[in-house]
Parts: sequence; structure tokens; C-alpha cells
Amino acid sequence: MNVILYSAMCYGITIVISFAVIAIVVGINKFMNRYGKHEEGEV
Amino acid sequence: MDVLINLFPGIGSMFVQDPVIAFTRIGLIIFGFILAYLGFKRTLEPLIMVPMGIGMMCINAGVLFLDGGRIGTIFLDPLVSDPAKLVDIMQVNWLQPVYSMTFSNGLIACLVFFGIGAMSEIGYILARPWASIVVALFAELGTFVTLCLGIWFGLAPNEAASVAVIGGADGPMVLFTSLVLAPELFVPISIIAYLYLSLTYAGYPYIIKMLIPKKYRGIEVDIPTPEVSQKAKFIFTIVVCFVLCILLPVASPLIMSFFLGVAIKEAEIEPFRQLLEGPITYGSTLFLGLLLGVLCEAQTILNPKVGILVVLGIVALAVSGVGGIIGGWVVYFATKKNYNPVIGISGVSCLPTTAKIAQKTAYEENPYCIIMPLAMGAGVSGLIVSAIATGVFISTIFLIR
Repeated sequence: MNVILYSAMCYGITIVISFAVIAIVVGINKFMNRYGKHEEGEV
Repeated sequence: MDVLINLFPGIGSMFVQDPVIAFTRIGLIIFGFILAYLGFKRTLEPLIMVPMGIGMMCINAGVLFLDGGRIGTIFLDPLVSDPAKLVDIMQVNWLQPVYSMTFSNGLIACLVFFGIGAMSEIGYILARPWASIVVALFAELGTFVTLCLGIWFGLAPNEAASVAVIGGADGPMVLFTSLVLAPELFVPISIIAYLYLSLTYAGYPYIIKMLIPKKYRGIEVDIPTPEVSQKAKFIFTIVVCFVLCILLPVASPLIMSFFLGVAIKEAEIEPFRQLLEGPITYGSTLFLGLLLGVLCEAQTILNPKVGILVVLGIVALAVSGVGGIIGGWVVYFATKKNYNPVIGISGVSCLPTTAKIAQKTAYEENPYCIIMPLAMGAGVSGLIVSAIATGVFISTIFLIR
């Protein structure tokens, strides 16, 4: 594979995985906050 | 004359060696002294530079005549790989056990990462998560540009990828990558990386001032304080750790070390946290600096590729710095001017140095400007992005022609 194409591909993979990681972090935080509030409401 | 040479072999060996090596030894002794002194003066990072400088001086001064008239030292021999010879040499070379059991397998980088993880506050990412990751991705630009330049300069793909990782501005990451991809060049690459990382504190403010006009540097920004419980932080730490390990197994030792440190901090396991933050971090940093210095023998530095590495190292960090600032501008315009572009520099994950630089630069223009939480968020995101980029390189470098 050509080096420029390879670099672009690696950058692309890094971008996709990084956004996925942040989506997981934000998603879990939202879920935990909602779950926590739900638990508090039940009490 | 022979008696004198044998009486003081440190000096005498210089007269029987190749003059180029002898002069390089003298140069490295002086360089080691300068590094240690600059560490003492706090111009460079003392935790690394004092042991590295002293190690460099002593390895080039403490040369003697060994069995069979060979010239060498009794510190360590990085080239021994035969198990029987290794066991023998461990009885003689005092730093050989530390090198063979912590350096050649990357353990020392993981130990430093335990400490970095235990000292990182992952909750900062949640203040502006998408802005942090965008800035961090832009600040990784130097890594990919340097990979292309490295190949263009004639380095092999694995060597170019190892030096390119300097663009991520993370010492242990550079060490780990070069040990895995280019073990024959890991000494010069790691020394160059640590030397330049010490210099970021001096160089990055100039890049900020060049690329961000004065009136934009002190922009005050909203810093949301997201609701984030300790339980949420712990759970997303271990989930992200699992996801990254399953996606990038080759980088999993580093990823696991970092997130284990974070998890221990979030779980408030105080004895472990104190162990990681104190003895493990400082013990491994001491041996990291010392061994990098001790590995800096004249023959290693005379490798013709070192000149190329010196140029590529500075290019990687400079391009990453510029990339981070561009990322800062992108977020500034995308969020309708509710962002300080100076934060961009902290996407270069030299934690917490770049975050401090960002806050200091903003403070100089506006004493009421507080950007530290966002800068730390960008820094932690930068660390994660660097680990991902490293894993991608190690896993896919075979694809390059």
C-alpha cells in the first residue's frame, strides 16, 4: 500500500475508534445519570 | 604507556579506540553533563534529565578492557539475546537485570502508564467531550505527517512509524512502539522523544502566539459541570478499556495499564493509588531516565539514521502542535465562538504540561480566563487518541509497501 494512502487509512481508523470511545463514555454517563435518577425516584 | 593505559582504562581506552568513537565519547560525556545541569536548573524535566545525563556521562567514561581485550563496560549489554549468555552476563553487568526484565519487554512503559492513569481525571473529558476529541484528533496530525516524511527520508516503515509516534507527545508510548517495531533504534528514538518533550514547555507558547492573535487568547468560555458519578466513571473506564483491548490487542498492555490506573483511582483503592502514584511512577521514571542515559553509548549515537530521527522528532511535535491549534480554531467556529482556540495545544497529550501551557497563555491575556478543566479534558482525550493511533500502527504496519 502507498504510504500516503496508508497514513490516511490509519488516521481514518483512529478517528472512527476515537469517536466510538467518546460515544461510549457519553452514552454510559447519560444512562447512569438516568438510571440513578430513576432509582432515586423509586426511593 | 601500556601500564598507564591499563591503570586508567577509562582514559586509556580512548587512545586505542577508533578516534571517531573516542571523540564521540567525549562529546557524550559533555552532553550528559549539560543535560543533568539543565535538569538541575529545571530548564529540562529533572525527573528524566538528571538520571539520563548522569547515566550518559558514566557509560561513556566508565569504559574498560574486558576478557579477550574487548573494550566495554560493566553496566549492561543491550545486544545479548542468547538465554545462557544472558544469565552469565547478569552476574557481571549491574543494570542488566533491570534492562532485560523491564525494558526489552516494554514493562517500564506500562509501569509509567499505571502512574499516569492513577493521576488522570477522566471526568474532565465530559465537560466538552466532542470538542476534546476533535482537538485531540487534530493534535495527532504530526504522527501521520511524520510517518510519510520518515518513509520519504528513507527509513523502513517500522522505523518511520516508531519515530512518528513522537507526534503523540507521549514518552512511554514512544518507548513501547519503538521496542515493538524498531528495537534497533529504540534508544535514539526514546532519547530524542524525551529531550523534545522536555522542550515543549519552551517551544509551544511560541506556536500559540504565532497562530492565535492576542485578542483570541484570553476568550472566556462556558465550562459545563456535567453530572458524573464515581460509579459512571468507573464503569466507562473499564468498558472503554475492554473495547480498546479487543480492537487493538497489540497495544493492550499500555491500554490496560493506563485504564487500570484510572480504575484504581475511581474505585478509591487508596493503598494501590498511593503505590502507583508514588513508588511505581517515580521508581520507573528513575530507571527509565537512567537506562536511556546508559544506553547512549558512542556506537549507538553514531548510527547514521540518528540525524534523520533528530529532524523527524521535532517535525512530529511541531506539526502536532500546529494541528492542535487548527483543531482549536475548528471547534471555535463550529461552536459559534464559544471556545478558546488556545485549548487546542493541550490536545497534544503531554499531560499535564500542554494543559498548563494553555492555561498560562490564556491567563497572560486575561486573568479571569479559566480553561484548565477543558485543557485537561483535551489532554486526556489526546492520550487516548495516541494509544489508538499507536495500536493502529503496530497492527497494520505490515500493509505498507
